[in-house]
Amino acid sequence: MTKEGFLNQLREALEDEEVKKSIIEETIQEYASMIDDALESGESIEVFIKKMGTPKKVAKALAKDRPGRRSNRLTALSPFIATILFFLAGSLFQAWHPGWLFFLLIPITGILTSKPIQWRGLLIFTILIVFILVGTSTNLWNPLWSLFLLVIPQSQNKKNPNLNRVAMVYTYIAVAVYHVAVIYFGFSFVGGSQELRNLYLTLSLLVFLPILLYGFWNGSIQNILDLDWKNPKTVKDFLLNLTLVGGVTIGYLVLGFGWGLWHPGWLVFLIIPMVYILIGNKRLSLTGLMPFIATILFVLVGEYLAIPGQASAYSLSWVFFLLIPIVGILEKGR
Amino acid sequence: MDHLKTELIEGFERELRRGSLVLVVLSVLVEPTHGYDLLRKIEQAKIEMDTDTLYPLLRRLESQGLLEGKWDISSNTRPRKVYGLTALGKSLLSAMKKIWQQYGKNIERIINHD
Repeated sequence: MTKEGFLNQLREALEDEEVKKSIIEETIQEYASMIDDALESGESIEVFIKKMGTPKKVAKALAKDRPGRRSNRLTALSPFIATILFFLAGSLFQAWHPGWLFFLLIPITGILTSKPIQWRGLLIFTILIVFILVGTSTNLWNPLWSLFLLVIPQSQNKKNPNLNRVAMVYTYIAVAVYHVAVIYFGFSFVGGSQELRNLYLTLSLLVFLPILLYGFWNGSIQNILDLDWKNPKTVKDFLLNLTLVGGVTIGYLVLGFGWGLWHPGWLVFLIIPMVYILIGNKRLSLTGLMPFIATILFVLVGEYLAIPGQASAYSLSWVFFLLIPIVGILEKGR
Repeated sequence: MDHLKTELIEGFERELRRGSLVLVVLSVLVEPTHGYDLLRKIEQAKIEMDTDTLYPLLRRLESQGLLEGKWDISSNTRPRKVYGLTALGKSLLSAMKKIWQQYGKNIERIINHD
């Protein structure tokens, strides 16, 4: 790697971590000076990285230390507030599902009380809430799943801001048009003509292919902005991301189109963060995995277990959320 | 059993490094130093530390008012950011030194059964 390569990667990593612009500029300037010092004393850039850390590590450490990241009373109270609201919704209105969405208040409070606010994270939770609420009330899990495509243009390509704007507008219009079209035609093509089915499939391809291609091009899907194809690790990461995201999406579409399992089939998407947690940690950390495992158990048991006298088993399956603190305490105490 | 022993020793060393990092950095910066030179001085003193967090640490100590960083453009060489202790940094260093020395003495006593 060259000095410029290192500094470019560092800049991108700092931008990804949403570090303040003035700090980014000063950090780049300082690293440029330190690299010059290292090179002048006969050290290679690789030795420098070994000593001073990879761009990603540095950016993460700087982001962690930034002022404004605070844990206030609201964040501390949010688990209790969420639990109370969940029980009120469940016991008063039998709305255990989707009342469990109140638990999302915990991460959302965390996002809203940290500075700068991670808008991308907030968008994902907003989409998830809209997806579950509208899906539950209308059963239109398809085409609602396509709302998640709105996340793609949030990962921006730094080299071409105009294209970002076009992609953002295109994606939002495309998803809206798709929804209107599918909802409008959807009622008639159930058991309808081949022409309507063809229209539906063509529309999907026309509308979504550019979004997916843009996602691959700008790196938000493969999570890498400048692919260094000579580096085997980059290729391996790219293939892993592609297989994982592609595989899970295809799996979800198969569950949805094949068996109508749009809900709770969406749970397969939780495989993605779980895999990243598993490969990101040298040791198996059940604490990190538990929120996902608990959600999967909660929804599956709530949806499919039959309890006499109860419309659903959500009134019982909430206990799985208790696994999160229990496993955390057990693992911490080891 | 060996695995557990190694794990415990590694954990002990890690905690020691983490706990003494600020003291080490402040001690070196008694004499104003630029970033990479600071790393060299720590290496020369044969003190092991997680150096990949050195720069973020410098920034944190600067934002806490313990260090002051100034771009040195007076010398003939390239501009470099030189870090030195502020009054608060000096006073913290002095307090930390006392604690370290006292703690070290106490530990010495207990491990040597004096």
